[in-house]
Amino acid sequence: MSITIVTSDNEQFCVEKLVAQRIALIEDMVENAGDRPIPLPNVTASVLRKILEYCEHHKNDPLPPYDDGSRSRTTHISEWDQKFITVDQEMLFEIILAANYLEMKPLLYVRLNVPRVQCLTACNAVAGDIGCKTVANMIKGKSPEEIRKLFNIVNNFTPEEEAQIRKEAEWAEDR
Amino acid sequence: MPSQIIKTLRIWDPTRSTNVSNSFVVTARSPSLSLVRLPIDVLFLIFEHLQWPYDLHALTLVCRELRTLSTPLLYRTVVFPYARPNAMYALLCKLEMSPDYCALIQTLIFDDVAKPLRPDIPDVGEDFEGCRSTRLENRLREPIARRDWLLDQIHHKLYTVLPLLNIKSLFLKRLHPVFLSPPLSHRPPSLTATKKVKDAILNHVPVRQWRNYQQPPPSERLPAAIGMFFTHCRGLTHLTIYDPLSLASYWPHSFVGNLTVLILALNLDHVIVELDCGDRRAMQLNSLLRRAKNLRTLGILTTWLNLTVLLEDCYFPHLESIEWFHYRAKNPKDPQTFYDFLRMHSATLRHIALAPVAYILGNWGYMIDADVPHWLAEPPYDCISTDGHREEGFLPHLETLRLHNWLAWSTPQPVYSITSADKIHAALLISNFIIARPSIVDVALTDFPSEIGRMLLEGMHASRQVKRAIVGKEERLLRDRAVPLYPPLSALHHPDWASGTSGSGLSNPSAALVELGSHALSVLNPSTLLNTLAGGAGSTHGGGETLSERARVKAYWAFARKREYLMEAYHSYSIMFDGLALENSAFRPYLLPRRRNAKRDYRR
Repeated sequence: MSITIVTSDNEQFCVEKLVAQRIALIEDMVENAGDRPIPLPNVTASVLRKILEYCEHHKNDPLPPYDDGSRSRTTHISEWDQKFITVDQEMLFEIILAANYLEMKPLLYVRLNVPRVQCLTACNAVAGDIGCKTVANMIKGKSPEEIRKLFNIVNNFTPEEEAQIRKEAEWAEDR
Repeated sequence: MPSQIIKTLRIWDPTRSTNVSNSFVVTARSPSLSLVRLPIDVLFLIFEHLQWPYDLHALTLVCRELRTLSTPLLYRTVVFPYARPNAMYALLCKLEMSPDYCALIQTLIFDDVAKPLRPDIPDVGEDFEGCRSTRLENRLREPIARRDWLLDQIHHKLYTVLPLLNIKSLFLKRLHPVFLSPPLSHRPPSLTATKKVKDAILNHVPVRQWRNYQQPPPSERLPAAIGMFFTHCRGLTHLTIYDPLSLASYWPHSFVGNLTVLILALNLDHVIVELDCGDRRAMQLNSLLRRAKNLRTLGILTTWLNLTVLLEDCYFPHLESIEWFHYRAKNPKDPQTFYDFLRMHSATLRHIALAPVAYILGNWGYMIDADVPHWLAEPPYDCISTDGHREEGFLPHLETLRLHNWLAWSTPQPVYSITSADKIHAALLISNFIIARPSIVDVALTDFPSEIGRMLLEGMHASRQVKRAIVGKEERLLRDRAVPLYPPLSALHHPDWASGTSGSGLSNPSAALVELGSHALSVLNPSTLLNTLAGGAGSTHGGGETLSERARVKAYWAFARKREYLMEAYHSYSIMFDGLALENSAFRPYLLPRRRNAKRDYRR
C-alpha cells in the first residue's frame, strides 16, 4: 500500500507505507485522510525528496528507544548519514526545519519529558540528531568571528557591549 | 529541554519568549535561511550538543539574538579556572549577586583544562612552531597564582556561593589551596620574613592553639570546601574526583548512596611512593564504594591499586557501565577478582570499556585457576540448571564492548610472552563472544588481527544492526579523518625517507606502515617542514648552517614524537571511551605531566 503526499510546490509523491510510517505527522494524518493525498504545505519537493531518501534507507531500523537524556549523545554520525547530510547550509537548515515540522509531536514529547517509549521515530533523528549535530559540529571550536563568517551573521553589538560580555564571562574563555 | 531555561529566557527577553509557543509554525519560507532565523526550539536542539563553556562563550559573542539564547546554556556548566584567579573571583561575585544564574548551574568544574578529550593534534604546516613549545603540558603545570589575598577572597566567597547552588555534577580535577582549610589568611606569617613578629605572637599565643593554625603537610590537610560540597549538594549524582583517597574520611554516607556516576582518578605518585600505603588506600576506597548502592557507572582512571582489595564485597545492584582506563594488576588475584566482579554484575551490565596498560600480558601477567572458566568463554544464553531453576546467561544485556590491548585477556600465561597460537586463540575467543551475543552493537577492538576482524564484522552485520564497530587497523585509520595521519617513527628514520628519495623503502619492515600513511607522508614533506623551522635565515653562512641543521633534526624528531604520542593517546582513549561517561568527564590523562619515576611503574 502506498500513500500520496503533496508538497507546497504541488509535486506529488507516492510513498510506501512502511517508509511513510517513519514520519509521525504523516502517520497521524493517514488515519484521517483516508485515500486523499496528504498535503504538506510547509515542505518543498526537494527537501521532502531528501527526507524520504533518509526514511527509505532507515526503513528497516528498529525505532530508537526513548532517550531520557541520562547518557549524553555521542557526536558520532554514521557514514551513510554523514554523506546524506553533506549539503549546502541552506539545504541543511531546510532539512532540519522540515524534519522538525514533520515530527512536531515527538519533539513536544521530548520537551515535556513525557516518557512515551518509541515516540522518537527515525525522522526525528534527522532533526534532532544528525542535522543539529552537524550544525553543532560546525560551531564547535570556532571563534565568534569565524561563526559570524560561517553563518553570515551581522555583529550587532556595540564595542562597549562586546567588551562587557567578554569581561563577564572571562571564566569561560578558552585559553 | 529543561523548563527552567525557558523560564529564565522569559525573564530576560519577553518579546522573544512569546515565540517559544509559536515556534512550531515553521518559517521556512523566509528568503534567506540562516542560523539566526531558525525557530527557537530548533536552535535549542542544536545548542544541546554544545556542552563545553568555551563553545557557548563564542556564541554569546556572535550577536544579540544568539547571546540571549546561549547565555542560560552557558551557565549550565561553570568552570573555575585556577590559572585566572581574577576571573574566578569575578564569577563568584556574579553568582553571589544573581540567584537566577545560580539556579541554572548544573555542573561545576574545577580545573584549567575543561576541554573535551579529543587531542588537539597540531597541523603540520602552520602549527609547527606552536607545537614545538610545551604549551599543552604547560597549561596543566601553570603555577597557581601567588596572590594570597585574592585566594583568601575566593575561599570566603566559595563558602557564600556554594549553599546557593543545587548542582548535579561535580568535577574536582585538581585540588587547589582554596579547598584547604584554614584560609590562607589564618596561616602564620612566614618564618623568614617576619620572624620577629612570629616570636612576638608566640609569646602571647598558647603553643597548642598556634599549632592548630599551622599548615599540615598536603596529604593531611582538611579539604574543607569539599566537605562543604558534600553537605550542601544533596542532589549530586555525578562525581569525578581526582585522588579521592586523601578525603575518604570526609565523605558522608548518605552522600555516597546518591551517586550514580563515580569516576575515580588516583594519583599514581602517592601509591608508588608509599607502596605499603597502596592497600590501605584501596581499603579506604573500598569502604566508600561499598556504600554507593545506586552506582550506575564506575570509571577508574590511571590506577595501580589492589583491585582485589578495592572491589572486595562490592555489589552495585544497578551497575550498568564499567569504564576503566590505564589500570593494571597489583595482586595476583586481580584477574580472578575481575571475573568474579563481572559475573556478579552480569545481569545489569550494559557497557564495558576497558583499556589496561599496554605492557601487561595475558591475564594481566598472572595465572588464574585452571578450573575457572574464562569470562569470554561463558555461554551467552539462558540455560535450565539441574534443579529446574532458570538461570540467566552471562552478560545478557551487554551493548558496548570496547577492549584496548585485548591481549590482556588471552589465556592464562605463566610467562611474559604470548605465542601467536595463543593470540589467535584469544582473538577467536573474543570474536565468538561477540557473535554469540546479538545485543552487542558497539564494538571497538583496535589492532585486532585483520582476518578474524573481518570474520567478526561479517558475523555482526549478519545478525544485528551495528551501531559502531571499529575493528582492526584499517577501521581505526578510517576514524582518523579528524586527526591527520602521521608518519611512524620507524619510517622517519629510514635513510631513504630521511634523504628525500622514495620507492626503495618498500622492502623495509615498516613498509606497510609507510603505505598506510602515504597520504600523510605527502603532506608532511620534510623539506618544507624543515624550511619553515629554519626560516631560511640561518643558511647564509656555513657554520650556522650545520648547527641549525642539527637543531632542525632534533626539533623535527621531537615534533614527530609528539604527534605519535597524541595519536596513540587518541586511539587508546578517545576511540575507546567516545560517548561514555569517562570521556564526558573531560579528563585527558595523557596530557598530565610526566611523572618523575615513570620507569618504576613498569617494574613488577
